[in-house]
Amino acid sequence: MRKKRISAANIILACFVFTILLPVAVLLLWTVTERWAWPDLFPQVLSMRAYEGVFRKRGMLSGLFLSSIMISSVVAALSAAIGTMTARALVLYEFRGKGLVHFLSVLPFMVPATVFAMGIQITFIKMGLNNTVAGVTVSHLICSLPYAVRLMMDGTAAIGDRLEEQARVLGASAVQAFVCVTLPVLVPVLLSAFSMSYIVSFSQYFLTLLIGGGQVRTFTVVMVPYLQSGERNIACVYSVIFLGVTLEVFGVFEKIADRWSRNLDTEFYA
Amino acid sequence: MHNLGRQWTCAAAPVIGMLSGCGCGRAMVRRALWECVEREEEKGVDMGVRIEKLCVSFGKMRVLHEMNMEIGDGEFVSLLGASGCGKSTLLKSIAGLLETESGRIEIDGKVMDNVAPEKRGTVIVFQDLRLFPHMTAGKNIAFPMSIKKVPKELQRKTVERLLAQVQLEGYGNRKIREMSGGQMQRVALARALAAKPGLLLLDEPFSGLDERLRTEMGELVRKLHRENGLTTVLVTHDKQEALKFSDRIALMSGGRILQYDTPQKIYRHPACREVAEYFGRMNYIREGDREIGVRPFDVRILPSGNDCTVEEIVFMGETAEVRLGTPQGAVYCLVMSRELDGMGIEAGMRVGMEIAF
Amino acid sequence: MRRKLTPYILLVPQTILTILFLVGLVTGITQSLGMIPAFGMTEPTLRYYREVLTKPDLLESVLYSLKIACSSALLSTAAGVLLCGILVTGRRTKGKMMRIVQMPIIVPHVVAALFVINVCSQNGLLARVCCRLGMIEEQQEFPMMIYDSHGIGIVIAYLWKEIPFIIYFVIAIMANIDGKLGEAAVNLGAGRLQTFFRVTLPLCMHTICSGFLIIFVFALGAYELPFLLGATTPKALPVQAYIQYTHPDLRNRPYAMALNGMIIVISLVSAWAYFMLMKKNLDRFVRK
Repeated sequence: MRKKRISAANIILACFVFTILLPVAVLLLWTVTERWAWPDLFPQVLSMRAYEGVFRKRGMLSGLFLSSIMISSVVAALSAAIGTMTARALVLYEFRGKGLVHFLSVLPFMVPATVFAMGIQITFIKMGLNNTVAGVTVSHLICSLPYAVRLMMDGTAAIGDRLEEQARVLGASAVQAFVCVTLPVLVPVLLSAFSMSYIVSFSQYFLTLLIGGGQVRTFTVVMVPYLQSGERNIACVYSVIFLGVTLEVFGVFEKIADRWSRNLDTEFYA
Repeated sequence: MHNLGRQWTCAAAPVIGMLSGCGCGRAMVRRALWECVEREEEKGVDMGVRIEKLCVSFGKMRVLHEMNMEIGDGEFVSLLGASGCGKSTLLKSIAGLLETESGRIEIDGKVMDNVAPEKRGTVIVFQDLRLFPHMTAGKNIAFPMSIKKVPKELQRKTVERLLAQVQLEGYGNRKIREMSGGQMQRVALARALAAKPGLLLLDEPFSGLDERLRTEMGELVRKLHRENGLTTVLVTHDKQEALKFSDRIALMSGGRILQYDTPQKIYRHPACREVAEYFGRMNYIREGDREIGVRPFDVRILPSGNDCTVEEIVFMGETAEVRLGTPQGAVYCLVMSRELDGMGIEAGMRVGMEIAF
Repeated sequence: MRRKLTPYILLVPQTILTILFLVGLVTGITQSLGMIPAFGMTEPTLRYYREVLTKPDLLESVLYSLKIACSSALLSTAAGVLLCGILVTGRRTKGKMMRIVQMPIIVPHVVAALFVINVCSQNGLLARVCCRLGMIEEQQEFPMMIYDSHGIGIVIAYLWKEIPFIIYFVIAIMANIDGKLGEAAVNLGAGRLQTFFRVTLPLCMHTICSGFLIIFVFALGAYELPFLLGATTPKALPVQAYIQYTHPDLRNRPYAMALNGMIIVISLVSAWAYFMLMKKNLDRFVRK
């Protein structure tokens, strides 16, 4: 009886994993497809033409890389930093208006970016932020911050100020206590806050389109016209490149963090 | 009956403490005790800790009520009391981790209002130890020194010395998660010592340990206290621990100090029922408008008499507790179990009793 | 004194961003009430809301979006929780499996749309498989799943993205609860499955509901998927709003804002609900 249920669970899981991976496989296939006529299950003619086409415009690709990844990274870093500050204030302190601040900090979670974008555009135009990288960054930051705040609040609540109190009575100033004790312990949470914010920023289409006004070109903004015009394999190549880069970037983050915390462990007492 | 009466009259003078039943009387006794303690202390104390009319509240709930206390330099003081009585709050207030509402804390003659915790020289070893998980044992111990930018070489030497002092030689490179509870305790103690505390505050650090380790750690703390010439405050709810290690004990309840005295005095001359009962069961025997408290160990069974009935015998190892039914209610009596065997007493028998001192 | 000031200092950047966000929100709401001083419109009126709710094509957008949002959120929450339960009770909350499960989270919705086109269109892999199996002969026989008036493709894309999101959102707390209380319940004689439904699931309900709300509001207001996978009519709320927003006649802008206003009302209610759920969760956390 027990065995049977577990195997049923396994079947469900296997289906799920298959469903996740299938489109990725198809995507990879499409990038090398030259001709794939109905009703064959596999493309008749394969070629690297789509890749060549994309890489020929190398200048555009590197520009796209730069703006897309730079914007998302800056957004993620700011978001993680501000998220940490907000989370500290909300978790470790009592002050007036705490409930309101908490509510407002999660609000962008719940109000779609489209609504916000159409409302804020006129203000951004007045402030001279429209059609600029800075404007896009700020608007992305607003949308990704709630994720960072949520993650950092969980992390901060889990650690609390126990270790900081201990550091204080051992002679550390408030800043030293935070930097030497809380920050290293928070690294894993900071990392996920950074990653989550990066993804949120990276995935924005409408906000980038409206605030960037077509001047700020990120991955999604470039992708969509290819999708609509039916140049599907070009769109697929872009997707593969950028998803590959994102995964790589995340991998590097993880390694850096790993090494860093390991260093912390053995740096001094050798 | 005659026998019993005589014993009581005798007992009235020197026994354990005389209390009148009403509350105001009790308060008077308490105040008198404080005054006497304070006068004693004022003579020689220019170092140590002095707490005056300290009040601390969490929101609307007052946790410490106008607390007064003095701790002499080099003293080992225990704060004893049930959980929630404000012991840990007092400790945190001394260390500057809590905002106090009113009152004064002086350390070494300096008023501590608005002095940051790191500048007070008061180090806490917390109940949950709070070792830094991302550092090795050695780095944990070195932490207070690295904050003060002590040269690395000196740090290393000090860490080794402290590790030896807490009997953990060679454990410097151990990760915290690879250590046992007792070892973590020692690291926490060594780390506290590395901060060169003027005042060492121990917040029930042994409550997570088993009996044997507890004793061992207690002795270690006492040894460290002596060797390093520390002033130490130990928060505990274990009366044995407090009696065994302290120069003085402050018994707390409901955010107040009920009595602050040497172990002998607080045990033998409790200021009120609550203090007396904290150290074990009491028999209260009424005489006129006075009440006399008698500890079970001071009640002796006389096999020859027949004033009371043996109602129950509870064997507890080396001792045994006997409940005697008397005309005025039950009286508990603690005897060595071997002695009891020799007397051949069983439940239901008629015996006599007297109060010894 | 310094300690009292600290939280406010910590909140400075958050406050600046919050104010910007609120400016956007308030601008949208005032414009939806027909107040755009720049265009000489100053009188507040509910006219645009009334029209949005009576004009057939606009009303249709509202209902269409609600339908998509409800079905996406319900289905992905249910499936996500089920899978989460399987992962937790099977003790597979770490390792390779979780990496695969988390992958869709990093994929932008635009790419998810591409996936659905690749797999579910009449020319897609699914149609070809059906043809191979002899279930259909011509492309046209395969049911329209994208650009269709029911938004099936949109819901599929949301499911692909949001089921993993729910798992990611819920799994930590579920694993925690199941690990701690599950043992106690099993010890008291409950079966593995019983434990899950009677103990773990009710205790995760706050988190599950917040996850549901996030997906619901997101699916209600997101532009990409209905724009890329939706039919010409009916149009989803945000798509319709953007069309009105970019309408050459600037006096159409209040319609856009009124459509947005509908989303705002729904999302503010959801936000309040979410906030209450989150606060309860946090309180429990802190008290522990």
